[in-house]
Amino acid sequence: MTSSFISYLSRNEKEAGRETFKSYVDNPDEDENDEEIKKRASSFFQNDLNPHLLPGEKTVTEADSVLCFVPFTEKKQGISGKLFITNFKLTFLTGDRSSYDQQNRRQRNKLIDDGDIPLTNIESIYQVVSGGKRKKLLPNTTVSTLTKYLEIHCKDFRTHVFGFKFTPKDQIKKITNAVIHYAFPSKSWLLYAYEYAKNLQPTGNGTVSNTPLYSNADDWERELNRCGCTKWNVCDVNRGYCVSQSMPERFVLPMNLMSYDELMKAASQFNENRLPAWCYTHTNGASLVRMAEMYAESELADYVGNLKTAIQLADVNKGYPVEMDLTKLCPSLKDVQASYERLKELIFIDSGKDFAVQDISWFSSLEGTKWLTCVSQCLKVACDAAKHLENHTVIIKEPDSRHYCCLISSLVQILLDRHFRTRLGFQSLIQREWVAMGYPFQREGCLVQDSSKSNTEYIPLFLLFLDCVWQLTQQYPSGFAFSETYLVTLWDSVHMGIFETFLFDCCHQRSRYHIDARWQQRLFLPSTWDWNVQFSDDDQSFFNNPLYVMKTNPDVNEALNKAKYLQSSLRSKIPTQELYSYELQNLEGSNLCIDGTKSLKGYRLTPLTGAACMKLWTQCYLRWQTPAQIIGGGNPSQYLQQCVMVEEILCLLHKIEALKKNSAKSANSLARTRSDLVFSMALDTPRTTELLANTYLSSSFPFSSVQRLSREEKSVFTPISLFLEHSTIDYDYSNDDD
Amino acid sequence: MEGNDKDTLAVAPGASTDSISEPSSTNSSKESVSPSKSICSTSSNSSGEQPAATEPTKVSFESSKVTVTEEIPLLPGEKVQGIDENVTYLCPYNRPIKGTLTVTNYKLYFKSVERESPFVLDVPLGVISKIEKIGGATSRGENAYGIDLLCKDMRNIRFAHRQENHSRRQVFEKIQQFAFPITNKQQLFAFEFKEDYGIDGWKVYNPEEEYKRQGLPPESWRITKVNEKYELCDTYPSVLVVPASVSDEDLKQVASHRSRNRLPVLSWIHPESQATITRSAQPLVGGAPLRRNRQDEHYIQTIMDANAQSHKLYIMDARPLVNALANMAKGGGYEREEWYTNAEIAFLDIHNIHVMKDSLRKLREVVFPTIDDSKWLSNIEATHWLDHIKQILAGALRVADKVESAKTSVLVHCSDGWDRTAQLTSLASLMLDPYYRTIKGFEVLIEKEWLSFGHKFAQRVGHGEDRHSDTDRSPVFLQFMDCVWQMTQQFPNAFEFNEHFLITIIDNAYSCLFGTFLCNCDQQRTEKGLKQKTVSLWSFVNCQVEEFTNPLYAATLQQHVLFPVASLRRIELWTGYYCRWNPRMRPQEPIHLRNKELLILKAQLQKKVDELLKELENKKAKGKLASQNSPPRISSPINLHNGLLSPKNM
Repeated sequence: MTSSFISYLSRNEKEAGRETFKSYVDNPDEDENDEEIKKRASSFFQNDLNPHLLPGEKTVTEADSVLCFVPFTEKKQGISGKLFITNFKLTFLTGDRSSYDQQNRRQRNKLIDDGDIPLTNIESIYQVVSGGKRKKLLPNTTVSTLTKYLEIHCKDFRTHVFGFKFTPKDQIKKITNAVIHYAFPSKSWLLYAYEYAKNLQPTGNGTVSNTPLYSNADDWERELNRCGCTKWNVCDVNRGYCVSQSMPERFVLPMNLMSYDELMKAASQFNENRLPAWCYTHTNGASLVRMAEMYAESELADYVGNLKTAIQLADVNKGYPVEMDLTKLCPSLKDVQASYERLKELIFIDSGKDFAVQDISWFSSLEGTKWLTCVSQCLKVACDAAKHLENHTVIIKEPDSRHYCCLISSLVQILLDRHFRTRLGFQSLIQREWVAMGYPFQREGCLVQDSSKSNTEYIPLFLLFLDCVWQLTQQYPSGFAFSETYLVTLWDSVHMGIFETFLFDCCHQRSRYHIDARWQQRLFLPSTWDWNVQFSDDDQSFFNNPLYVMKTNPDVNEALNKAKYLQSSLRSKIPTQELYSYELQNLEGSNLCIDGTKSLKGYRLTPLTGAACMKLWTQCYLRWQTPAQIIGGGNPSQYLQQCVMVEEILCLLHKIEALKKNSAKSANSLARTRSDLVFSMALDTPRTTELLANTYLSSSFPFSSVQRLSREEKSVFTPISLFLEHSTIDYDYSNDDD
Repeated sequence: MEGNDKDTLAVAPGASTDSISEPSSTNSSKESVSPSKSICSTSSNSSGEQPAATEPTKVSFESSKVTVTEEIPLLPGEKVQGIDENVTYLCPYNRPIKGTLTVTNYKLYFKSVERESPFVLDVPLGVISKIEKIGGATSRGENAYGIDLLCKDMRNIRFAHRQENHSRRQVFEKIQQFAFPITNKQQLFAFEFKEDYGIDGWKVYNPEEEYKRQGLPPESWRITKVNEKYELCDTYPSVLVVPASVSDEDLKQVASHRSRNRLPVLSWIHPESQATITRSAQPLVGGAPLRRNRQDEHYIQTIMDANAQSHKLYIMDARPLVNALANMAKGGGYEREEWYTNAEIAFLDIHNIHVMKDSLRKLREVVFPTIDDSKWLSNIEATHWLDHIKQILAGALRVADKVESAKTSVLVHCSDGWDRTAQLTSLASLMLDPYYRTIKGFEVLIEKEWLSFGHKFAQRVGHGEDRHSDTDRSPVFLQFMDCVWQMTQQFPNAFEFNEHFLITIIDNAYSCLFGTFLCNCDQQRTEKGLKQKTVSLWSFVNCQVEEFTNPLYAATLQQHVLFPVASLRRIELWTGYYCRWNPRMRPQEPIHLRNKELLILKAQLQKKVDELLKELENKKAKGKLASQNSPPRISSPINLHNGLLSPKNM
C-alpha cells in the first residue's frame, strides 16, 4: 500500500501538495471570486490518484475535489483530494504531501491506510445539506438531496467529515448513495469478504497463528487436559449441525452421559436446541456450564433431569450446582444498547465548541450513559460466579446462551486462570466462548442490514467485554501479558470485515460459507489471530505488557526476589501505601482479597467492582478527540518508560551472564535473545528508526498522530526515540564468535 | 538510638493514617512519663467485658509505666499526656474495635491488639479541626457516647467511651489542649520537636541562588534589598527582583498603588525569550474619581520593555470580572487598558477562597465515609471541586502558553496576590521549567511562590487554633497540590517526585511537626526564629529522597514545556488523597510498587555488572590475560544506539 503511495508522489515531484484548500475556505470574499477559486482549485486537485486495492476489491465510484476536514477545526482546516468507494472501503487520497507525513506517526495497518475506512467499520452516516440540516442516512434508502458534508461515524470511534463544495454535482449524489448501499449490504453474500476469499492467493490453508479454533476435537481435548478435567468429554452429537445450528459441531458434555438419541431429545427442550455446554473446570473439580432456556414440555423433562444430574455428578464434590440467571443479574441487552447510544453521543463530536460545552457536565453525562454501571455490573456477576466456583459447579443461564453466557464465562475464566491472561490464552478463550459457541457477530454487529428484519440496532456486548477486561488490566497492571493497545487493536480488528473470526453468527454459517456451492471451491479467510496479516512485528511489539514480562521472565523474577530481599530493610520504611493491603485483609464482611501479588499467585483475581472504581477507557474512546489529547504524555509515556526499564534489566542480566562466562574463560560472549518489547526492535532497519524518530508521544499513541494545534513549537513534540536517549540498552543480538 | 529514631520517624509524619504497622518496640526512649499525666485510672479496666487480648497491656501498665510508653513510638520532644485503656474506635469501614488511646503533645495514638495483627491509628493532633462530644450521660445504645474529631485531611475519627468511668472528659480536655495550642496560649509542637536528619532543609531555598539559576539578564532585571527589613511590603520576602531601571524610591510609589503594597515583582523569566511572569496584588484604582498612578503605569511598561520579543503585556487577573468590579467599590480593581497602553487584561474566572472552602466541604460529604456508587460521578460534579481545579489549570496554562508560545510577558494578580496568584504563578512555572519538577526544585517552588511571597498558611490552615468555622480558612494550597497531581497523572514521567511526596507535604502543612508551613509570611517567620527553633520539612524529605522518587522519571525526555489538558475528560478525582481512608477505593495492585521494583532491580543489577567488570579487570591485571581475551564488546553499548538514534543523525 505504502509503496504505491510513494510512487504516486514521486510522479508528482512538483510538490503541489504543500498548498491546502485552507486558503480557499478561509477566504471571506469567497462568493465574489468563485470562478477564480475554482480555477485555482482545479489546478491544485489531483486527478490521477488511484486507490490501492486488495484482491477482489473493485472501485465502485469516485468523487473529485473532496475536502477531508481536520477534526475539531470547525471545518476550517483540512486537505483536498479524491474520495473513492470500493466494495471494501471508503478511501480518501490526496496529493498533499503533509498528509503522507502523518502516516508514519501511528500504528500502520498493512491492509488499510490512514484515510481508509473499511465499510464494515462504518457505524452510521450523517448527511448535512446546504442550509445546515443534518440527518442520519438509513440503510436501504436513496438520497436525492445534494450533500454538503458527509459525516461518517466509525465503530472505532473515529469521525470522518467530508465536504463536497468543489465536487461536481452528479458525483455527489452518486457517492452519497454508493456509501449507503455498500456500507449496509442487505445480504451476507454481498459482504466484501466473499470477493476477498475468492481472489485470495492460497498461501497455505488455515491459520498461521497457534490459537486453537475449536473446529476439531483436538482443540477441545487439549483444553480439557489443560484443566485436568476427567469427568467431561468431547462429544460430536452435533455433527453436521443436526442438533443445533448455532452450536459448534463439537463441544464438551459430562462423560458417558446418555445416548445420542437421548441427548437429541433433551436438546429439543432448549432454546435453539442448545444443549448445556462445558466452559471450564476449576482445579477443585467444579465446572462452569452455560445453558439456554428450557421449554416447559413435561413428557421430555426426564431427559433434561438426567442431563442436570450428569452435570452434578461430573463435579467431584457432587454438590448441587449453583444456577445463575444472567438475564436477572446482568443489565438487559436493551439497557446496554441504550447506554452505548448515549456513550456515542459523548464520543462522536467534531467541534471544539461541542467539546467545551460537554466538558461542563462531563461527569454527569458520563454517569448518565450508565456505561460504567454496565461494566461494573458484569464484573460483579463474574466475580460472584468465580467465587461460587471455588466450591460448586456453576450453571450460567440465559435464554439463548449466546450473549451474556459468552461474556460472563470468559470473564470468570480470566479471573480464575492466569492462562487466559496471556495473549494465546485470551485469544483461545474468545475463539471458544464467543466464536465457536455462536455469538452472533454478524447480526449484533449490524454487518448486514436486511430490510425484512427489524433488528438493526447494534449490540456492543463484545465491546463491553473488552472494557471489562481493560478494567482488570488497570487494576492488575502486571497481571496480563497484553497491553491496552492490544485490546484496542483487537476491537478495531473486529470491524475489518475480512477476518473469519468476527464475521459470522455461528460455526454453521461459517462452514456453509466456506464450502459455498456457488463458487465450487473451498474458501478461506484469514483469522484475526494471525496478526501478521495486519501488522508488522514492530507494531505488534506494542501489544506486550512490560510488567508482565518482568513478572514472568524467570531470570528477572529470580533477580527481583533477590533485590527485594536486599531491599527488605528499606521496605519497612515505606509507610502508608505498602501497608494498605494488610489493613484490608482485616476488613470484616469484605470479600476483597487485596494483596495484588498474593492473588496473582493464587490465580483468582478479585477486582474492585464498584461503579466508582470503574474508569473510562480513554485510549479506546477518546483517542480521536484532539482537544483531549495529552501531547507528550498520557498512559503511553508510562508504558514506554516501563518498556525501556524492563529492556535495560534484560540487558543487564545478559551482561552479567556474559561477564560470568568471560571470567570463566569462555571466549564466546552470549547472544542476547530478543524480548518482544518495543525497544528490542531491530534498530538497523530504516523503517524502525523512522518509526521511533517520527512517532510523537501523545495520549493517543499509537493510534492517532499528534495534531498540530495552535502551538507549533517543536519542543512540545517528543519523538519516542528519545526514550532511548540515556538508556543502557544494548542491541547485541548477533552471535558473536570472534 | 539515632537509627531507631529514623525508622519510626519515617513512619510518623507521612503516615497520619489508619495503618497496621508492626509495633516498633525498638524505640529505646527517653523521658519517663510522670504518672500524674495519665488520664486513665487503672480501675477503669476492671470490667469483665474486656477482651482477653488486651490483658497484657493492662498488666504491663500496672506493673511498670515505662512499658506502656515503650509501645508508643515517640518523637524527640514528644511526651505522653494521657492514656485511656478502654476506648472503642468506630472505624467507618469496619466493626468497632477496642483498644488503648494515648494522647501526647503531638499525636493521638490508638492501638488495639484485639485482632491477629495489631491495629494502630496514629493521628497528629495538628490535623484536628474540631472536637465534639457525642451523646451524654443518659445516651443509650452501644457506642453512642464518645468524641468525634473532624479532621483537615478529609476524615472524621470517632471514639466511643464508657459512660461509667468518666474518662471522656479527660481525653476531651487533653486533645483540646494539645490540638489547639495557640488558642491555649501554648507553643506549637514544632518548637519542641528536636530531630537532626543530618541535612538542613532550611538551606534548600536561597532566593539569590534561585534567581541566578533562572539567569537574570543584568541589563533588564536587578535584585533589590529594599525590602530587607520588610518596610516596603511586610508580606513580601526580603529579596525581590524588579526591572533594573526602576529606582528603590520609585518602587515605593508603585507599591503605594497596590493592595497591601504588593507591587509587581519577578517570579520567573524565560531563559531564551526573556518573557517573564511577574506577580502582584490588585491596583488601588477604586474610588470616585478612579485613581490613576503614573509610576505604576510606567512600571508596567518597563516590565514589558524588559522583554524585547514582544510589544505587549498580558495582565491575567485571576478573578472573575464581577469580583474585580466589586473590588473597585472597595478601592481595589484592575488595570484599565486605556491607561496601561499595550497591556491586555484577561480575567481567569477563578473563584475566591470562600467558594473553594465550600466546595471542599461538599466534596468531603461525597467521599467520606462511604461512597454512593450509583451517583459517584454526578455527586463529584455537584461539588464543583474539579471544575475549580480545571479553571486553575486552564488559567495557568494560559499564562504558560503566552510566555512560551507568544513570548510575551504576563503579570498575574488577584485581589491580594497571595492565594490565586500563588496557584497560577507556581503552576505556570511548573509547566515551563523542568527544574521545578525535580524534588529539590519543587521544594524551591513552594518556598518561593508560596512561603516567601506570603501565602497565609497559618490563617488558611488554622494552625493550632480552635476556630473551625473561621472564614479565613481555605484549601488554596491543597488545590494547588491537586493541580500538581493532575499534571503528574497526565505526564507520568515528567516529575521526579511521586504521589507520596505530595501527600507528605499536604499532611505536614497541617501536622505542625515541622516549621516549614508555620506563620503567614517571611517577616513573622523571622520574628519567631523558625529557622533556628524548628526543623524544616525538607530535612525530613531530603534525607530519604528515594522514598519520594518517581521510578518512571525520565529527566532527559521531559525537558520541554508541559501543556496539560484542562478538560474534565483528563482531570480526575485524586482518590489516593481524598478517598485514602476508604479501603474499597484503593488499587488492587498499586502500579507504583511495580515501577519501583523495576527501579530497584535495575540499580542492583547495574551494581552487580560494575562489580563483575571490576573483578574482571583485576583478574586481567593479575593474570595478564589481556592478550588472549578481547575485552567484552558490551562494555560500551551506549555509543551504539546513541550514534544511531541521536536526533542530529536522523
